Amino acid sequence: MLQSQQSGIVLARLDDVVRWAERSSLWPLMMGLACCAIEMMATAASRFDLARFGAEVFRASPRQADLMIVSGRLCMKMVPVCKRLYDQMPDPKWVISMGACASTSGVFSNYAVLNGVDKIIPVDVYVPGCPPNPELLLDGLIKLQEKIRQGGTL
Amino acid sequence: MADEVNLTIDGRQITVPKGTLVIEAAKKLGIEIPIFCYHPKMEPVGACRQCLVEIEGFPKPQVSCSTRVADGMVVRTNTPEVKQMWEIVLEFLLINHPLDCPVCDRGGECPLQDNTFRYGPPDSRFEHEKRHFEKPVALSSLVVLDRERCILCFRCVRFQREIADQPDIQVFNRGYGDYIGIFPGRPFDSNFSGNTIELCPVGALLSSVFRFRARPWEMTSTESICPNCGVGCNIRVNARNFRRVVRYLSRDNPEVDGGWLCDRGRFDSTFINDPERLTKPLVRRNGELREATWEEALEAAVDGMKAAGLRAAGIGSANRTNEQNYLFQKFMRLVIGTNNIDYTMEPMAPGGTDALVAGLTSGFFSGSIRDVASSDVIVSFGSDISQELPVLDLWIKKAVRKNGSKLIFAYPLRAELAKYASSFLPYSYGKEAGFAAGLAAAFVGKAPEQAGGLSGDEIESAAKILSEAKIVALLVSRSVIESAPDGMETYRALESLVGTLEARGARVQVMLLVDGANTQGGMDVGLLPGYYPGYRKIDESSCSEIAELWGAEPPPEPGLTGWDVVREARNGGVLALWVMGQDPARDLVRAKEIAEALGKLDFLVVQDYFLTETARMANVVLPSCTFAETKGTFTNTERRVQRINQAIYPMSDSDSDTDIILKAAFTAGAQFEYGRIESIFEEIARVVPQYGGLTFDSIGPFGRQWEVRR
Amino acid sequence: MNNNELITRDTVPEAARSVAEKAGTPEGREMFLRADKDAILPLCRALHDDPALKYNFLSDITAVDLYKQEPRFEIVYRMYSIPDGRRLWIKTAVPTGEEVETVTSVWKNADWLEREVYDMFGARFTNHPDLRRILMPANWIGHPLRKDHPLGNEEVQFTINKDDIVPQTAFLNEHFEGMDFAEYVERGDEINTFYGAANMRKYEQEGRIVLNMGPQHPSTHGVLRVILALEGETIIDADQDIGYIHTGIEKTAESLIYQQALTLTDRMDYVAPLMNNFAYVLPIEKLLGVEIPPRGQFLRVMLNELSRIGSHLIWLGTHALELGAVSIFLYGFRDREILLDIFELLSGQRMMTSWINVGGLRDDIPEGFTDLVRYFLDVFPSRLDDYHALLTKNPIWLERTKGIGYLSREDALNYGVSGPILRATGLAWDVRKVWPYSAYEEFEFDIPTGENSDVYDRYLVRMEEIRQSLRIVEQALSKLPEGNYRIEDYKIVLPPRQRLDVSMEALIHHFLVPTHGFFVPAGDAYVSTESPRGEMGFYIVSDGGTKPYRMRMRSPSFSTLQSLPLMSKGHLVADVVAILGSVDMIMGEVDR
Repeated sequence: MLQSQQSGIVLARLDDVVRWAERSSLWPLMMGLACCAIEMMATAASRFDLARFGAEVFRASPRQADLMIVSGRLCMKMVPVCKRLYDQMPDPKWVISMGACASTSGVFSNYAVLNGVDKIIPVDVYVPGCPPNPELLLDGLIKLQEKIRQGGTL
Repeated sequence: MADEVNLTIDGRQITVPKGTLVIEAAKKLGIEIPIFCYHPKMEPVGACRQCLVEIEGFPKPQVSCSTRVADGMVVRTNTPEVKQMWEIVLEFLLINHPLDCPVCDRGGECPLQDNTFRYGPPDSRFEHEKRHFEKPVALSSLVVLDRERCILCFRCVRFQREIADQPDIQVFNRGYGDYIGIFPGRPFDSNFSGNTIELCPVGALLSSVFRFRARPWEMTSTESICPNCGVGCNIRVNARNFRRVVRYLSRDNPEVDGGWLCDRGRFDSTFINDPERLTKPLVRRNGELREATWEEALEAAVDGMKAAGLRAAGIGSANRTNEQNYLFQKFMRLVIGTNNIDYTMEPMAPGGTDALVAGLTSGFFSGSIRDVASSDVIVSFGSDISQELPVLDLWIKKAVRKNGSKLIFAYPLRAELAKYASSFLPYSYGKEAGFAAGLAAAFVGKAPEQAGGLSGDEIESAAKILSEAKIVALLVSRSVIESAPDGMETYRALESLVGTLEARGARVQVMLLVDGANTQGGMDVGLLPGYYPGYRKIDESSCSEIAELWGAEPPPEPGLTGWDVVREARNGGVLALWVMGQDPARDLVRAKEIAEALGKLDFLVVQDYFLTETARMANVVLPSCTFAETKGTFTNTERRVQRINQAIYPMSDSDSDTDIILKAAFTAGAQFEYGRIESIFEEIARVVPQYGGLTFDSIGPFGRQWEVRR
Repeated sequence: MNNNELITRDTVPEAARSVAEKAGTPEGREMFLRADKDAILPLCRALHDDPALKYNFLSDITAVDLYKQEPRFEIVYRMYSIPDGRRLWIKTAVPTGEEVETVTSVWKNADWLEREVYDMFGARFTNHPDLRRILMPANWIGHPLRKDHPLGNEEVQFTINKDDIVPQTAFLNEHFEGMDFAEYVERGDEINTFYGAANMRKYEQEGRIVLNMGPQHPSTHGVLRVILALEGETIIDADQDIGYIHTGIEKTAESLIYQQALTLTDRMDYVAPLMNNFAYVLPIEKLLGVEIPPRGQFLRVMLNELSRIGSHLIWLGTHALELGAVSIFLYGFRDREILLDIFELLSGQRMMTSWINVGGLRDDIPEGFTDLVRYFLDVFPSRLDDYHALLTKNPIWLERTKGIGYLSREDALNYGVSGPILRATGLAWDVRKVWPYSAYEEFEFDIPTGENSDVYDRYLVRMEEIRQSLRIVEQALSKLPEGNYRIEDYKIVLPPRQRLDVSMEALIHHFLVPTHGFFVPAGDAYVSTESPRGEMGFYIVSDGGTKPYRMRMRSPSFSTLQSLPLMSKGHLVADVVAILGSVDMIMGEVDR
């Protein structure tokens, strides 16, 4: 960005500005599946404060959300629902796979849990942990923001 | 009944044969008693005192491993006193045991650990210095001893003394100073030393090949058969991650190996994951072998072979499965169009193979390994069993030493079994027929003055032993019939000998001793130039029989033997050769001549795991899989068809020999369609009458013999 | 009044065909019967209706697959007489292909419980009003908890085997009727929705609005699908479709040794993980016959109550958030952070500590622990007063919660509802008082109850429970005994690390206890505990080995949730939000 000292004009590339806006105002979809959802709520609460990163507006409707944080294990009955929610989200959209279960089925390698949400939807950032610390989730979010800044989108 | 005994254990009644040990009776009731020194295949010693139980009427506890049952005996194993005794014994054993579990191979499959966990104390009361030894000590290049861990159960010593009869390992000193060791200057080189590793209940005797390779829970265990000799000992192949084979363990087929393995087979697993394994097909271009794709290699191979037409030949293998050998000969006959197929390039005597086949198809050779244990006279003709079929040697030793059987050992050299023989007959090489005829004659009172290089007296004394026999096991080496001169005469002489014995009321079982792991199977499925599969002599009628079974006609004339191929190759009579699973340029006795002959061929294809001497001369080299990477069957010397199962994924780009042949057939435009290995076996069962009625499943985990009743 | 006197062949004729299976407790408060499967319905009815027996509460119906034996299934019923504090078990054997009569006419929560037995085992119930799958997808092939149903796990991936692993999709492709997994991903939702809403289709035909809520919805406390039939905005009927977070924990536990299965239990009721650990280890300790030293028991109680407070704080925060009071959410989580700090100080983990193990705790409390707990006890009560001040007399709060979601006591008992909801009907029933476990008898605390059994009363009950829990924590802290925090039997717990330098036996046990696992004597055991949601307990069946043969979790919210339609009828759609908040279910424990 070029900044003029006197006239208060800033020159920048459109892409950079758009990406800055996107990453600084990610609206997560309210999709808390299991235990990771509790830590996701804790991340949104005042101690860890997701709002600092522009992401405190959790939207219930996928039509209004651009970030899906899959927080918890994806079980068989929920698999088509998750896919449908993802499909309903408009572009550009991103996915954070939060926790071991969402990334790989975690402790539950069995008939009921899908071994990784990336089997049905594309994932941008995998956050390990069972459940991950809110700080770790924030780190994941920051990495996603970095990815967006560099032009990574799906 | 007179030879049965009734007793009560823990309030439960049981009736067992007289002479049963208390611990065996308890096992029949499902009652578990902890043990260390006791082993069902060896004499009890009562050394460890772990199996103490209360027996009514005895003031002190008794060791159940050494006490035989008595009528009306009342045994208790579940009282608090007995439990306390078990705990105390374990406490004593653990006093001097080093804290080695984290670095000891046995951890996780250790009877001492398991017994301590179930019955032993939870913590130690011992606060002094434990006994120390220098450790580990290499007893041989294969076996390592850690004296600190040894609990002096003496299983190793007893095995070597009672079963292997090679007492290389002993107890030294006495009392508290006991330790296990070998004699100064003499390594522990018994051919059965590896069994002591499996017997040892702690991590004192360890395999130097397997050491530190894996924990028990990291290994998968696959049932298979040792590929080293014709006994076909049942093994378990242990592997990690379906990639690396780390060791073989025994599997106890009571009719074949009795639970033992020889060192040659047991420690042989390292070749499977050897880095020198061929990784890709090779094709010779501009004089050098270069990597190629499978398509290129197979095309080159098939083209080269077909160009030779009737002057092509194929050699199968004694350590490839029946399915692989069967497909190979079918491919050679139908696709390449030649009956020049054999399982060896060794020179054979004329008529020898016919004699062998006669014996197999007439049911003359219908004996079994277990016959050895139950015979009063064992005749071994033409084989140094201790070298060729080591575990069979254990059966013979057991028969002679334990059951009072007599051994007649006929072999040109004073081999190990000679010292167990009541009659050692060192006939001369090349005079087998004369010797056999002489023995047959002596048996009907017409002993010659000398026969086969032996004096009449020697032969007569052997005949005398035979005349007193009720049950005879006659073990005849294949080489005596097939390779030695006048094999047909030898065979006839043996037939006559057996006939006379049987006429006198003896029961005789004759077993052919075949030294390769699957030589018997190779012959059964058709790796013979003069016979189609199933020992059908090649002629017009058998040709149409096979044509019907295969849906295509094989060549109608008998082919060249392996040795014929060598001779013909020298003068252009054979132009192309496909060798599967052999290294004749190095391994056979006439290797130099064979190598020379191979050098004169137009085209040579070699299918093997390594770049062998033979492979180095080839035009096309195809990397094949070992027995651990495939599934199939082997047929052992007693005609027992046994299964091998796949333990690991194929290494790099190697392919199973069945797949190689199938792809080669496909490349040549033929339609060999088999969905699974089981289907190939099904066809073998249809084509080879001896295998009729068998399926891959029905073979079962311990194999099924094929027999032809006389 | 004890079972032994009350239940005899004379008093309950149907019991004539039953036989006492094993000795109950000496004073007759617990009894075990074995009955013919044809005697089940008359026996249950008699036990329920008889005024002297009053077995008005069905705690659980579950099954055990004996697999190679016939009869194959053992169906286990457990019922309580709430007024008298008595417990009764009935076990019956059902061969493959045969059925038992349903007991839904006696206790309503048998409906869902029997559906689960059908779903998981394939055992059918005659005359069941609605025998459908409840946890598995509609077109799943097979019954997961049967021993011959595969676990369906995938090998762990390493670089050397990653190309050769049989993927999970290969297994899944075989288990959906008429389609492979990819097709299920596309069409499964439609199939599951219509299957789950089967009872509500009739309203569509009548021309009513049938509204689908969930499984993704901000106010369902986890993945629950509620289907509402509406007349305008008023609810005339409701039904639920659960199973969206069915994780197969019970089946996974059968393939793990007891300590490993412990780590799965944290993830069931995931807002109070230590309570699940506690409920899981108690029946195992009962089977092992071990007694935990006093310090261990007190610490367990303390951690249990701190977890209860943590759970109630989540309840408060999310309940208030959904009704518009966003600040309470932030306040609640702020205070929960102190609790999570306490757990993190203790174990290194904020939530899934798995700290309560068989034999005691995993380790003693570290330095600074009591200070942090004391800090919490100092600052929190006044904050709790603040939350009261914000909500309890708040007109909006009262408007949204008073008179909403009424559930009568009879209905509550008949639906197997326990915990704060039952207490809000005026019945002071708390497992900690009725069947005390661990050292609860040594603590002084009250059981708050409500009067009107509405959302507001449930709120008051829980708020008061928080206070009572604080009381217990205070007592635990001040009276904490010295001594061992766990039993010292090294065949069950790990020996201390110092012993590994000098003791051979300790080394052997340290090797085998984690790799091989300890043996638990054959038998079955169950211990009730009071979770923030009601009566929770683990029914463990052991075959004498190192892995549980059957691990069944009695989930309080499972039964409570079944009564949701009853609570919602006649209310508005927005009230469903309030009612769900007051139910405070955690879907992780409902679906397991």
